[in-house]
Amino acid sequence: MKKEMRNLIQSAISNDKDAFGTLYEIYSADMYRFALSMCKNTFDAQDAVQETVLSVFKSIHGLKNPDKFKSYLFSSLSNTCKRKLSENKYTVELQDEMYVDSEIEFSIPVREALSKLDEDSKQILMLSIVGGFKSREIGEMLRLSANTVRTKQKRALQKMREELSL
Amino acid sequence: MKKRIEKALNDKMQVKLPEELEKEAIMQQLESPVQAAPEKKKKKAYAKILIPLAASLALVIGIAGMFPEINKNIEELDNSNTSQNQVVNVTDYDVIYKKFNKMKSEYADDLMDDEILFGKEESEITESMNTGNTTVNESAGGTGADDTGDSWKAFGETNRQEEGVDEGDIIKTDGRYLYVITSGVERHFTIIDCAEDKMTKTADVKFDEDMSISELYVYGNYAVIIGQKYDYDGYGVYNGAVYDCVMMSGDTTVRVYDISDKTAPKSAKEFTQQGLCTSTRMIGSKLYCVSAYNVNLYAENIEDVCIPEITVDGVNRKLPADSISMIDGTDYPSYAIISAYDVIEKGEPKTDAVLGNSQSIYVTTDYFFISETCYEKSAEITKIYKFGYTADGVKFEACGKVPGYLNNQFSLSYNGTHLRVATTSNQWTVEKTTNGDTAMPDAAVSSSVNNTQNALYILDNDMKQVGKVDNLAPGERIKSARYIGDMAYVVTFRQTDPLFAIDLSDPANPKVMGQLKITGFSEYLHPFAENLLIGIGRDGTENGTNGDCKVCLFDVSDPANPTEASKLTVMNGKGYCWTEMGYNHKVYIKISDTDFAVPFGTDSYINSGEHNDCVYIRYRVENNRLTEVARYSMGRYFTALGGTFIEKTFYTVAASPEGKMQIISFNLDTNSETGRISI
Repeated sequence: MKKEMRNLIQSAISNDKDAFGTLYEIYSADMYRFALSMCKNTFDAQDAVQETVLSVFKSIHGLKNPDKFKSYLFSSLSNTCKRKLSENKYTVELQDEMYVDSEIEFSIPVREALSKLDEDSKQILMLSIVGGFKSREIGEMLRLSANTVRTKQKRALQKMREELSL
Repeated sequence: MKKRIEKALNDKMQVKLPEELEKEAIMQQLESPVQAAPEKKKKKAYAKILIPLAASLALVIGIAGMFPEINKNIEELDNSNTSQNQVVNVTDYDVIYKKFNKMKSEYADDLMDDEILFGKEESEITESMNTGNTTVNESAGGTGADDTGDSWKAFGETNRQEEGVDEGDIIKTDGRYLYVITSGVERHFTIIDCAEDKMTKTADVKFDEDMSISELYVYGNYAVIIGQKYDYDGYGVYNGAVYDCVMMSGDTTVRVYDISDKTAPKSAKEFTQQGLCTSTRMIGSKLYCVSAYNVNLYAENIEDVCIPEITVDGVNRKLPADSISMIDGTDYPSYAIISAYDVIEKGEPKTDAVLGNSQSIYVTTDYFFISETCYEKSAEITKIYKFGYTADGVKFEACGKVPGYLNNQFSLSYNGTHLRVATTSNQWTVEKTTNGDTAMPDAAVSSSVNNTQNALYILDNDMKQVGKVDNLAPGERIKSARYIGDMAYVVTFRQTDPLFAIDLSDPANPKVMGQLKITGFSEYLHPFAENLLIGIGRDGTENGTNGDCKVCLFDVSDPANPTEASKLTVMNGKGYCWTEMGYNHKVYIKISDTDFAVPFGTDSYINSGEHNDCVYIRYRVENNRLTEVARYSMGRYFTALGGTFIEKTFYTVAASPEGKMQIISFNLDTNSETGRISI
């Protein structure tokens, strides 16, 4: 991790709101993308990002290793998304609205391919692709062995490839 | 494949942030929840970044502006004299107080006054010394410790880097009993009697939930267990699961058990030092434990926390000033703490500390080296602290530094007169993303480090550089290194795997003798026999890796022309495979002079349907040829954690998909599974 990045996180940890804002700016697009792929609709995705940012902001002072900021941010987001999913089990009808939202070009094949994955695989795949985390890091975040993560990811990719005919 | 899907997702998942998630909207929301937080003045150091950031893509420019200097800095470092490495004499605590007060004012001029976030209460440290709860398995057959009269000849030892220096492991054996530590859902120290090829659990010590145990040694009638207690903070727990990813500090406890009665290990003595464990070694009966203690600059009173403490038998004491070393120029508030502890003799550990971080250790019977990689003048450098041995512990002697970072402990080697160090240096550039936007800083960092260079440095006993070979394989990075006598073998990788053979016999003038370009790369090199080197790593084609793993045999009898004498792949190209070997050399098990075993996780997707397996593959080397003898399968979705053998039985420790630990045994003659117990 670059020194500048570490410094930025270190000041966010010391309650520097501007630094936190800058960090948010850096990760916001990826966070939203991640939330979109995990949640069933844009509202939940939006909520999940907001809730995560606020809760991370409140708890960031407890973070001791700046290098783990991104893991911390995404594991927290991932958990919020999963919670949203279980809370809104019965609001499936909103699902389609997500994709007609003109601001999102979330192509139908990708959506369909993603929807065929189970929640865990989707989470692992998105942490890897959108979050850019390594299998070991994802394993730490989800309390899975790195091998399980690799296997699930491999399989999810395989499935995606078939679905997208790549 | 991942790249293509990644691209599809990236191309087709361009999202625009909704207004509610724009930075400004979020910033407004941040106002409310933390009203108590007083307005703080910005730190000078960050002003530089934050101001250009207002113009949205400036952080990247900020970083980019910095990069061209790096080459120059590496040059400077190379040629710099050692004025920065002056050891500051610490005669009393005042020197340390002064140093930390200075750091505190530099790092943290705006502290949170309402909360002390990093401070550690002394009681916490005492609590960390949890007492093991010994339970004896009732099925244990009497006094299992009795000698049965059998002569136990061959049994496994932990794969070590240096002769005479033992390394901690999760499984050890004395030829009859297996001693195993597990740190899964539950933490146990288990003793298993393997008499007559049966596995019988004789004792099981359960550790407190918050103690994670990482390393085990067995020395005579004593077992030494290294445990860490993490200091979880704030967001450490979700749904009952504790996230390793958010913990940053803690304590390291060394506990010695008397195991003369195999049914009832007795906790004999222990001590705790601050900081999480970097690594440990054992030479004879003496254990050396290194931890990294980050001083809390946010503590109310810095002078309370800036002197490292150890806790022996529940009593805390600060290290005396003369046990603490500082090097001029160190400005990171962290100590490398190193304790020497005789596990048999009565008496306290001898503990020393040097101001500096500890990331990796390399230990020979001559010297003890601790390394850290840090930034200096915005270039990555590795500092190496050298300690000599005294009658009761170690003494800091010198610090050296080289550009770049280490791959792992095998990047270092000391031959009695010189320390040899192989490193990779990053040279950063920033790329523009395809749509014209400048990449985010983090992405820029991860995606654009394509200009790397590798080098090997030779330092003398004063840790001054006397020779080097640089510009090895520009654009690639070191994947593994191993030293045999005056030769260094270094594997670098980008698309294919050059194995460099470097002659170090003239320290002032090391020379690349030869290189061998083959596909894939080795993540671990093991000197097997004279002139033979085993390479274990990823297989590949001319275009990069292909998902398979390989084990190969290098013939280095002619240093100028290393050859690949033999090569085997795990999946024959029909599937995906991985191995722990690259980051845990202890999973390599030497079975005999010709045989060894290495664990792999395999996933084949032929014949439709999934077939996942976890295997220890046993290989044999005969007449410069490598053959596969057997595959010991642990089961679907299992993870192999380590193993050993006793005579004709091979034992592995494996984690089930649910995180439960098992010991699985295989007969080395029939190669079939002979038993399986849960621990």
